[in-house]
Amino acid sequence: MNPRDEELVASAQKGDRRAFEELVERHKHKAYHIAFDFARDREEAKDLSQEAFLKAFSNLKKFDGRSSFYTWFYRILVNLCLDYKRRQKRAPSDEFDETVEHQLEPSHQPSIPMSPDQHVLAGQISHKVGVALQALPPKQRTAFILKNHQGLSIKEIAEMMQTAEGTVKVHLHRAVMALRQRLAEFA
Amino acid sequence: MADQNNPLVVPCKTLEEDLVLFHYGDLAGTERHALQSHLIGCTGCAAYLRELGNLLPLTVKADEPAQTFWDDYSRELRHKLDATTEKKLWWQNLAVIFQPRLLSAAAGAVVVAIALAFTLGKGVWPTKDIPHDDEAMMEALHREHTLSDMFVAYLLARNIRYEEDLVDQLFNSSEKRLARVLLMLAHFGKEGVPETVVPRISQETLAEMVGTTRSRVSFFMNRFRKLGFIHYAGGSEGALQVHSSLLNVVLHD
Repeated sequence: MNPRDEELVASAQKGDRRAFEELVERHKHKAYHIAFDFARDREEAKDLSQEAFLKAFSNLKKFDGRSSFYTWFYRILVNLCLDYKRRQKRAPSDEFDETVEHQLEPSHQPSIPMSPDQHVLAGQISHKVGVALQALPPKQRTAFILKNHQGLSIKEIAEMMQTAEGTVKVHLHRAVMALRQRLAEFA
Repeated sequence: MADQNNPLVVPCKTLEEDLVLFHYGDLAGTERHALQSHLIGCTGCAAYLRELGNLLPLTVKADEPAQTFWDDYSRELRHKLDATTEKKLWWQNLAVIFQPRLLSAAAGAVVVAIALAFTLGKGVWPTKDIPHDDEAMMEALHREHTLSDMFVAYLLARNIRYEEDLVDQLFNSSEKRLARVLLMLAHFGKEGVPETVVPRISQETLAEMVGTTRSRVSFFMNRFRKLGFIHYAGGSEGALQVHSSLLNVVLHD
């Protein structure tokens, strides 16, 4: 039988590296996808999610088990993602052409072949969505991504954001309203 | 009831938040039943719900990397964890030295050593001063012409390297600088057979050498790997193979 997260955390806190690596294997996909929703770039998402694991590893002794490992870890990840967004806002990078990177990635191509028109439209939508999400205030963006993209419950989001469930609902509602305004042409 | 003239569908103002929660399946109990009954009679709210159903999935950008990505992910993370553990151990060792008990023992030993040096030292230590390293080097340079030739050649090469580094820092992008550093580590451009395998070197160290952040180094290393310019040899050593094709990054814009 597979050990629970809490058991693995207890072993990892005693210095069992394998236990921590097992936690990584369990959570790496979800962690990556959350980071990708914030960064919308594969390499940055990989870096951010790995950084979150490293931070969790370094601070594992401080984890007191009051919340689940899942909540604790994803809080670290979300904070890193928000920091990343703040840094990006301050110093936008122009050293590389992201579109070139995406061309190099075979898995970025959709499995069903698209017509050139559809391809252009998909690109436009993706770009506009990216801009619209970027324009949301950090708390609204966090609530929206965790709900809309990751399907977390309001309770889980509230725990991660360390706020009340009612506040999460308000953030979510405002985020949806703002996105609806900005993306009205696609509605 | 909803206003039908607005280009964007307008739901009942008081129910907008509930409609969002309903869309996500987060509205429970009596509130859900009440809203369901309301939706039967309100075209505005029903249209708003349909609109959310069409619009919100568009905001999700799906990304499902291939298995090789996840293999690399785990391998890279293991290396990073190794580096973190090593760093931690170094600090722990340092902390052990500074433990109160060991510190007092070390201080005692130093006091005893000083006392012995003062009491016994007079007759034991040679009276003639030991020549300073610099003076010894100066003497050797005057005496040994082969050594002085080598020393001057070394100084000139080092100055040239500094100049090259400065030019590189001023005029090249961090991607080119990283490519140059990797090629230099693999001894490309020097006489003899180049060593294409670079010993394990952390991305933090590379970032410091290049003058950029670790995340940028990670990004470029992945790009070089995908383009076949470098190759991770794998194994516990995690050595890095640098191919001569990496020169293309340095030479071409």
